[in-house]
Amino acid sequence: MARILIVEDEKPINQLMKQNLVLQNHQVLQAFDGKQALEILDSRADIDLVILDIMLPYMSGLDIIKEIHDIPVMFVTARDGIQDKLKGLTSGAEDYLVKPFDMLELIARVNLILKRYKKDASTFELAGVTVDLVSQRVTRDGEEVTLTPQEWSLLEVLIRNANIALSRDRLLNMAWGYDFEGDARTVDVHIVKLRKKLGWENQIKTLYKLGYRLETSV
Amino acid sequence: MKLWQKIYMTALLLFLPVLNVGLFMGARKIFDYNIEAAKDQASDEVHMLCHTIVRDIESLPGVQQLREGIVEEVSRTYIEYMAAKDSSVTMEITYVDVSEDVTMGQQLVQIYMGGDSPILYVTELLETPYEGYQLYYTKPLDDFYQLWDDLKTVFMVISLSCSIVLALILYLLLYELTYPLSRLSTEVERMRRGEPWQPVEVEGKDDIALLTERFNEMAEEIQAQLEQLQRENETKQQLVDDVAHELRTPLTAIYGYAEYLEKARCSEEERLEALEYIMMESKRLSHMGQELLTMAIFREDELNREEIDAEGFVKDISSMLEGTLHERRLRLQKNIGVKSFMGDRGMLICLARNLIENSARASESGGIIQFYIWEEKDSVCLAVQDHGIGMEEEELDRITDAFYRVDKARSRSNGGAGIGLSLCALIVRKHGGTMEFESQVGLGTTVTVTLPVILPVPMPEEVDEEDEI
Repeated sequence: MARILIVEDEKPINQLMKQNLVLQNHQVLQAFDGKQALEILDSRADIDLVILDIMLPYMSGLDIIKEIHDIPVMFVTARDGIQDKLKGLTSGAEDYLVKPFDMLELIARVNLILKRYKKDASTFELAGVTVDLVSQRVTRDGEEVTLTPQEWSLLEVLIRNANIALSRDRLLNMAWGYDFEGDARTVDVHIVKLRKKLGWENQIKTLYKLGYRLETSV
Repeated sequence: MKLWQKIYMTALLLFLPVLNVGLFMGARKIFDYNIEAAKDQASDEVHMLCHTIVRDIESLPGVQQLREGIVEEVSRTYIEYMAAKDSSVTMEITYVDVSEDVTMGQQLVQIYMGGDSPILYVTELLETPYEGYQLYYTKPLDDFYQLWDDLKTVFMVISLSCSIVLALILYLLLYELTYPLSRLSTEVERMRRGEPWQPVEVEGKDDIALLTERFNEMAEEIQAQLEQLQRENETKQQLVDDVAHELRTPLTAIYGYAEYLEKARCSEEERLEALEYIMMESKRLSHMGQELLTMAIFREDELNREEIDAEGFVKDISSMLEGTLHERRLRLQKNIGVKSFMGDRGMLICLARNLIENSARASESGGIIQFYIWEEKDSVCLAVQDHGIGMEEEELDRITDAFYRVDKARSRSNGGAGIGLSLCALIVRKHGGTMEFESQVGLGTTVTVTLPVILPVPMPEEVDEEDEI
């Protein structure tokens, strides 16, 4: 769980990003222009990541980033020219996301930056199960649960995208890799095993036509 | 072949033969003159000799005069003397009966070209009573011909060196004279290749200088037009980028919320909020599309000028804007100073509506917007005045650019696709009029549109591509 500041003048998009990140149990602060962003940054020292639009009222994202030190910044902007990207990335940003973006892409990139800065959660707890994401150990009610490597990567994908529905194909790609020539049924088999081992019958939800979703609050 | 080379070749071809022929003729003349002089000298000498011989004989006593061989005797002394004086000369006195060539006392001077070398040959008959005797004088002309040969050599040398010097001077002269031309040609070539161009230096006041000057002017003009094109292109590109950006923002929201609805487990409240955003952003997209389309249509459309009834015009506008004005609790004050005016009704309604909407956005809730129509000399003026937040001076220049927002956050939250003023500028231009902005931060903005009553012909629709879609 990290504390993330979103600076975006378009209220719908700001709100959208917030909702997506809240699903990941992140704590989110919102700013709608450059001045507001700097005020928040000045008053708080506990922000782990800044998501920054470039075209902002009063102060552009490129100006704001100069005022930010020691906090990773990810640009989210509709400007997708190579020059804009280069300008963004050379100004010290960690990443550059172009609108319109995919929810999963936003979350994956945020996770990646947090991981790089060691600000990501190292443990995940849900319904008596504790998952240590660093040492890859899983305990259920204090007892260690043994998972196969495949079950582990599926579990990790589910945790990293908690509260988001993932299709079987998506899960195959994310947990098994693109070169895996498995059947979508493979996912079902592993989900059943995970549910059984962790006792997550209600937490891992099957969604009709959509796939699966790990729900952190039932 | 270049011009200077042509001139060079022609000049050389003309000049060299003339020079050489002239030199040759001169030399020949000198030679002929020498020969003639030699001839005259020989002739004089022979004549003198003949005369002297006869005198000498006559001065002898009578008996002696008639002596056989007296002529030869007297002559010998002279002949010997002459031979001593000039060894090449041979003289002889012979007795001939009749000479067909030479009459009494007369001389024959000839040059015989036959043999090894030309020989000057002079004969003269002695005077009566010694007319049977003839004096021969021969002199080889070797020396003269030798001189002629030498002269020819000298002539060759002079001619050759003169030709070379001439050719060299001509070359340098022509090259120097036509250098501005070749430089101009290089510049033209550079320009053709699209390389950066610099004005060519103008020297003197001749034809080439004039040409260079004209070229400079032309190149400048072309350069300026190219730059203009480039600028227009950039503005166009900027517009395309802006359209892409403006399209992308609502699309991001629509797609994002739809995805959120699909993938996340959301509460009823969240669901409604997401749906509301989707609808709002869709509306924004559609509004933007409509404005872009209107602009495209207005651009293509012929101006449909008609007499517009001012009362009805204003009434239509206020009924159209009623909703917006009511929502923001704004009052529209109408000041109509004309009965009717000329213009394209549809376009002018669009113009007035856009201007008033902009004013409404800038105004505080509860404010007043003034709308004026009045007549001025040869034109009718429309003005919209608000007492809203106003604009900075530097922003005024850019406000008619499509998608330019003075304050992004405010304009967005108040709606508007960002091409309203662009559209207004287009309409005003179509009418051949002008649009002026006066604004002060915190005090408000006044927009004045002046439309000429008589449409200027030809229609001054500048090809201003800035807001081309």
